[in-house]
Amino acid sequence: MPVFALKVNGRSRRVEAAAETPLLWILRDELALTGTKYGCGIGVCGACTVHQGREAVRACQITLAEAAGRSFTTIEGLSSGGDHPCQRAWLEEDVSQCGYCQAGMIMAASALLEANPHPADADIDAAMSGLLCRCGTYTRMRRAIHLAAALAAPAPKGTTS
Amino acid sequence: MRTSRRAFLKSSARGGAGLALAVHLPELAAPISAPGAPVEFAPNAYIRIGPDNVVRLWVTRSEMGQGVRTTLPMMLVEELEADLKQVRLEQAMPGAGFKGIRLRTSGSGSSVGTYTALRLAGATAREMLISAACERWRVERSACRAEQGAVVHAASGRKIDYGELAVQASRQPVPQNPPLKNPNSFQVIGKPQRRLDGHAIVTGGATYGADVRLPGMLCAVMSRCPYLGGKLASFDAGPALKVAGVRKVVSVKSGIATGVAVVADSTWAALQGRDALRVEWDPGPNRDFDSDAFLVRMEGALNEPGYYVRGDGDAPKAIGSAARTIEATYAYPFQAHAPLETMNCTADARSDSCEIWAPTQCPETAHQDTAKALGLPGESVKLHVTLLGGGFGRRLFADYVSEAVEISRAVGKPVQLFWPRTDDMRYGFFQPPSVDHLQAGFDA
Repeated sequence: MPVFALKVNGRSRRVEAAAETPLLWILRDELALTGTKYGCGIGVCGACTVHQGREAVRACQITLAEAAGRSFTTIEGLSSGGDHPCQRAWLEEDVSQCGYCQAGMIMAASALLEANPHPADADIDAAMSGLLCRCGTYTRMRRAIHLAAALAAPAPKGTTS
Repeated sequence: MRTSRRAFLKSSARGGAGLALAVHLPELAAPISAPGAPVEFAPNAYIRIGPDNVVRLWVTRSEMGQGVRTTLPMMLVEELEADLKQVRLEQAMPGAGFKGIRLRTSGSGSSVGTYTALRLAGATAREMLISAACERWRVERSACRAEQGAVVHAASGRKIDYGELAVQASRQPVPQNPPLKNPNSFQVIGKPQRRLDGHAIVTGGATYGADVRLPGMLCAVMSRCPYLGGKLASFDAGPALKVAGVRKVVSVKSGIATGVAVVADSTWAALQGRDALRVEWDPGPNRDFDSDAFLVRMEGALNEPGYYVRGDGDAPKAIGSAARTIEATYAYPFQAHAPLETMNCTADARSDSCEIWAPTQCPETAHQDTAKALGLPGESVKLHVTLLGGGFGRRLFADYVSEAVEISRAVGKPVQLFWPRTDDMRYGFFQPPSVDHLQAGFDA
């Protein structure tokens, strides 16, 4: 089988697999990065959301051949020790129920905040509406994204920490 | 289930050090046959406190988003007077250690069903730890209290951690009727707590069934008979075996429908192999079943005579004379439960044993089915309950565990069986369809 090179979580990886294999299965089966989840395999649930550069993409919709030479971040590489503002806000708001979809949700939310550091409810709904949570944690996620925006913002002038 | 305070309590040293407690509830098992006979009641909850001051709690329900891996520890530490931070969670497994206690998660009963047992387990341990401290300090019981994982002697200000008392506590007599707190003085129960496993979830480190990885593990995907009650007629494995990465193709008799499994080095290879497979099905008696036609039949049945389940007053008369009436027909189709994590199971079936990792709501059923299918004694089957990416009742059926076990046995390797979403939608124990006509009258 052909060998492809890609970068995942800052690390160069070489993978030997069929060219049409979705990135999702490369991450989970070849690189043992199981934080990225399978939900549908057809790009409609968002459980496999990762970052390509700074943009949220669905790992089940990118073939290994397309991924070659590109750089991806998964939930395991979002921060060191889980201190990304979204991860902190997710814990603060106790968002998760079963938790299965939450890695994809956090990757989508963090990409949103990169593009729009202070999203309004409507921006959040637009960015997150294509991701499915079977437990129904949507309203807590929206609160957490607002909190993450606040946590990521620099402290106002005149304050000390 | 109602549990009573008449709990029989038994203390045992496990592993030589530390305090281990099992709570026995007489309602759950056979009565004692004679005075002095060994207590044979099964444990209802199980904790262990080691010299390292860690409280290990075996969680007796499956975590599927309802928060049992947080609420069950809360109920324990409330009476134990320990800190949630010192609790380490273990997941209870079917077998001798939990014989007679329920591990099945259903009916919205996880908190109610474990509340008394966990409080008793905590209260019993607390009393024994206090006794141990009193013995060490040579002071009266009334002079000591437990708080935050330690026993305190108020008069002298002395304080000793549970871990340091664990060995001595295991030698204390077991209180038959340990005092339970008045709910008015609860400090943990009823107060918001963050999920104990929240950090693992937000960093991608939480292990759901599909995240289990074993050395040498193969991936399996099945092709199943599309007719309920039908069966496999024949198959040609040739084209599937030509797909790179496909190792074996085997027929499968257990599970929700008979079928064929494609076993491969990776999930993708297994999926490609399944696509290449040529299978003939014997449709069986339901060849012509059609869910749309069935719905039409149910709608027609609305006009046929029914029967009363309950009749209070004279509803037809009341509705007939009502000032305003509203009526509507509601139809509900066959529906998959569709948890976001699709069905999956990892099994390592050997000739004399089997180890299973499953996101299941019914570990006892899965355990018994496996032992029976493989002809093994129960103690040779080890079943780990992983986190569940949703349950919704679908995981009260262990069909996918049986499939994984049969496939692993057939190929002689550890196998992870994966159900793609299309399988989840096409096969399952669907929510039953219904058609309801409702009519209501208002007198104003």
